[in-house]
Amino acid sequence: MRGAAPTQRGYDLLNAPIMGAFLRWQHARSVLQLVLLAVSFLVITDGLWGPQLAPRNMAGILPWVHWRGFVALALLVAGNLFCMACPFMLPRRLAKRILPADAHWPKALRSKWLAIATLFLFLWAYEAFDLWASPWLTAWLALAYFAAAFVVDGFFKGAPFCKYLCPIGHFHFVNSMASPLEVAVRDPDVCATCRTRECIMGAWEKPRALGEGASDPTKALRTHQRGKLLQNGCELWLYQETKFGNMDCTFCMECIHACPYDNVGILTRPPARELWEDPRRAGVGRLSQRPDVAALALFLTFAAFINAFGMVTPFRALEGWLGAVLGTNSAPVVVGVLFLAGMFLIPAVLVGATARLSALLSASGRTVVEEATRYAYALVPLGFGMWVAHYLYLFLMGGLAIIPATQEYMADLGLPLLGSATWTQGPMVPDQCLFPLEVFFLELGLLASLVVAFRIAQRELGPGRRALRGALPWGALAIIISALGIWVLLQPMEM
Amino acid sequence: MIPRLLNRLTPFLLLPLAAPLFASGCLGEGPEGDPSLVLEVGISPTPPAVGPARLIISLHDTAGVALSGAEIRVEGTMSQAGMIPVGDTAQMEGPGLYIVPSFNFTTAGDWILTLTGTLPDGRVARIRKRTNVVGALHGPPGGNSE
Repeated sequence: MRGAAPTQRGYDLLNAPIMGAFLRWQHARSVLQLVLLAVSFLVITDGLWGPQLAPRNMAGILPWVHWRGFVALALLVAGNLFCMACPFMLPRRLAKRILPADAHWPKALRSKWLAIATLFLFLWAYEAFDLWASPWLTAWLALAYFAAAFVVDGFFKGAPFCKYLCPIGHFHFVNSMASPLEVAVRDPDVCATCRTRECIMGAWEKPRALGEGASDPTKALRTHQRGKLLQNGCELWLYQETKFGNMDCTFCMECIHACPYDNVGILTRPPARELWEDPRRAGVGRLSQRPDVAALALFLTFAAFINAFGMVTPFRALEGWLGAVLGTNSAPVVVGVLFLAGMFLIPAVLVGATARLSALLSASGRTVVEEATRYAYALVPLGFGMWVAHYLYLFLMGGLAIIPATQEYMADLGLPLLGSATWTQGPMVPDQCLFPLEVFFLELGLLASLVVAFRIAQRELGPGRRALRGALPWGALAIIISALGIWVLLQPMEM
Repeated sequence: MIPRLLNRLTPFLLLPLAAPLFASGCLGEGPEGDPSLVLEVGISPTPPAVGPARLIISLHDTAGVALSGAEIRVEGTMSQAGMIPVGDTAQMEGPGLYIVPSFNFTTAGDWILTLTGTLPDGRVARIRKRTNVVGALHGPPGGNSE
């Protein structure tokens, strides 16, 4: 290290007692990944060979109750911690060693459209095939995930699986835009003088630097001249000096370990701020010029509500009606049609109309797509609020099931060390607290969405009434969606 | 060239070894425990709706002889994790006939009932039964009482 730079921005988690020391440790991520790898092992083994009763199987409980609950909590109070601990990246490391990993990801696929497709497939399969109720399918889903990360990153350079494909990762990327933590530089002036750029190039035996130490001081060393790679740089091409926000950041901490100036930290920031700021972001560009990223944000917002709607009685009634109209009982077909309508068609109409109105009221002169691309991020907190409400509800309701499930798993292994399982656990909080908690998170999201809409309008239109007129339709849309969300939460559950 | 290729393809060549994984994963529904015992359950109303339902349980041996004096425990869970399980104990109403008068289905959807009958001599019968509990929008249950 070439000396520590002072922290000029928010509080740096790397300076926190104990946790900071752990995160600075080079193998911290591997340890976290190994923990989740062990959890994956439990999910896969119990899913394949354990009792095929989801509420009593690790594959039924750990991914669909605990993992989703912890993801929601982590994104709410910290950031993208689950990409940081992602176990699917461990076989990927092996793939990088034994497979060529030298092909370039096709240019035509360097966008978020594929991620929207994989997210849709994931959510559709979850509902159409009752993944939550099938430990066996859940185990295979986990295995397929390991295989996909292995194969894709084994043949392509960098981390295209994370950047362009992974549905779970993109769920984290979008929702972590509202999180309070960000991997960021501590002192921008230090980056301005850096000539070696280890945060993206990686740290080598011989730095890439121009000047001292190089045989020709006017030229950078080529890769084969740099000796051994000591530490990876960012494989998602986020150059720290111009990195902004959490989009595409897996919190892998490679940049933190690679920076010779110790100038990268995990900093606190105002949650959701990045949703209304629009600088040119390393590896991403300006959000206002990325319709694919805006579409991803909108997709996840509406998917939050459709996913929750899939758990209540009116959805089942709608399924029955549509099945009769289409003349089929096939859940994949009926759910597919409903999800296509709810996640693409209806959002396109609603957002298109809102964007048109916003452009007219504010006289921005922009097309519907241009307007929607700028304001789409205003709805992210609302969608995030619904995801949190939904996932925390299930976690608080059924989280304690992990105790008897572990007892039973151990007993099945012939090691009844934890006693016999008793399946009489109740919710983690009193029943009557669950609905108010759900509404609290949903409305917190709404509040943040209203603020973000107004700040985007101010950014685009300047202060004053014009900004208010530009934000008004988006605020109204957020309020309508939020009201529909409350209606969904009030419905009787049916799964 | 060929050894290098083989080295790279090794993980894929190992994939067939995973084939036995496909053979697992069947839901253990139906009878378990002592094969000489027959435990059956009916639900009233059918299909059950959210709220209380009456479970009518019979326990006999394979020769048809009704078995009394058993302790029969019923546990209901939804097919997915995350919901609170419901438990109850059946009361004996007659020779080999046991009743749970008010089993509370708290949520609409797929339920799995696990019934465990333990006879005074220690023999155990266990069955699992799936049932779909209808919600309010489906109207009043149209089935008969058993």
